[in-house]
Amino acid sequence: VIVVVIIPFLLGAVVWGFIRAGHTVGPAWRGSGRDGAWTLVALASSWVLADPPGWGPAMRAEFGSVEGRAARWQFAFGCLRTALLPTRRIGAHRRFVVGVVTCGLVVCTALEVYGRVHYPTETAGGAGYSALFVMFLVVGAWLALRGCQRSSVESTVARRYGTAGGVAAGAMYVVAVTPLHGAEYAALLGVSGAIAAGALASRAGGDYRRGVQAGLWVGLISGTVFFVGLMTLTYTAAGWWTHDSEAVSAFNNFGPVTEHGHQLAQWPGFAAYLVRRESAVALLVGFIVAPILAIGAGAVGGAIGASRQQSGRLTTGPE
Amino acid sequence: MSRSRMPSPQTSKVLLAMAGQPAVWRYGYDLGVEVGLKSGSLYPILMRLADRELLEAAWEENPPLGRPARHLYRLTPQGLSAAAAVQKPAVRTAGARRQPRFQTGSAT
Repeated sequence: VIVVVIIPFLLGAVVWGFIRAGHTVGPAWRGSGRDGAWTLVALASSWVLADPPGWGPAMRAEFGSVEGRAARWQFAFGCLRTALLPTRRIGAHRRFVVGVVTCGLVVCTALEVYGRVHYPTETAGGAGYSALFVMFLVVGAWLALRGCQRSSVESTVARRYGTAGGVAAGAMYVVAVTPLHGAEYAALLGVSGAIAAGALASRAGGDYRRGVQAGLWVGLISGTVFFVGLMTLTYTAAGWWTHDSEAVSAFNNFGPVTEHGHQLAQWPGFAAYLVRRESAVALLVGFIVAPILAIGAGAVGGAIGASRQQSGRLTTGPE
Repeated sequence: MSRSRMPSPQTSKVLLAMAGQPAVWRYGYDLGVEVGLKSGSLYPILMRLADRELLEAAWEENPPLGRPARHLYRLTPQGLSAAAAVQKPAVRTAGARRQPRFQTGSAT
């Protein structure tokens, strides 16, 4: 997971950051005499979320008057801090997001701790798994809190459509992993929900980027709902999942081979194995697959919604 | 419904520094040096003040050749009122703190 998903994702994020900074800063990006502190200021200033959007250029312009290597780096890190942390006081509409994020963090952590306590597995996952889990929670919470920095009407609308679509999509993903007949098709409904949320948000906001924004919210909410839903079902009805004969045989044949040629399962019981397996599925799908899928689907929906709005404008124009 | 609350000590410093010369447009970095705030604290404060329309910002006209125009800041009339409101409790608190010392001093 770390090699295939996390490292490419982080590298992609870094490249995207540089490309975005290059677009924002313009020709000055390639100017001579740019040191590391300048690069950091350029990156940070391109990430500042503010209405009106003049604060990023203000930071870059001010940086020219900062003298001394230490002072320049200090200024640069200050700009980075401003870009990454919330700058506004929590208003009424942000309190809802903060509440949802707090609930999500508490519930996900509680479910994970419950699994660790009731199904102790020394060899399954271990510290690496816990580190990934904490990292995904922190990144998800940061994205949500940063997303609610925007206070424009279009952003609020995108957030609302994204939240509604996220709850629906998350519920569909949970249904998709149950042993019910034809349940796997529910995943398609979940993706459709993200497309619909993106289309509606971009249509309301007049910009396909609102669709991407709605997709991000769908991803965060649906991923959390999926994690909570799957782990709750696993704990409350662990026997429900034993319909999967492959899982049963994998449990019996998994583990180190003894000197007598027998294989020993690494888990104390089948329930522990099952919990750990579903926990890994919940982590991967909830915090990686669902958000990435939803952002893509939101972008598709955003393009659809923006084009429909444009054609609507063309038809209503002459009236 | 908006609540009125006392600004943080850092925000108060910025308000008071700017209220000292209300007509003068100030540079962000110079202001930060004056009040002893780093950019990571100063910019969020300036953003919040601008959000609440206590601060107005403008771009520098005719910047020196080869240097980008810098952002300039000045308090609005509401900002000046806020600075005055910050100053009053500060004076009152300082007075209240000094009073017991006088009493103790005169008693001994």
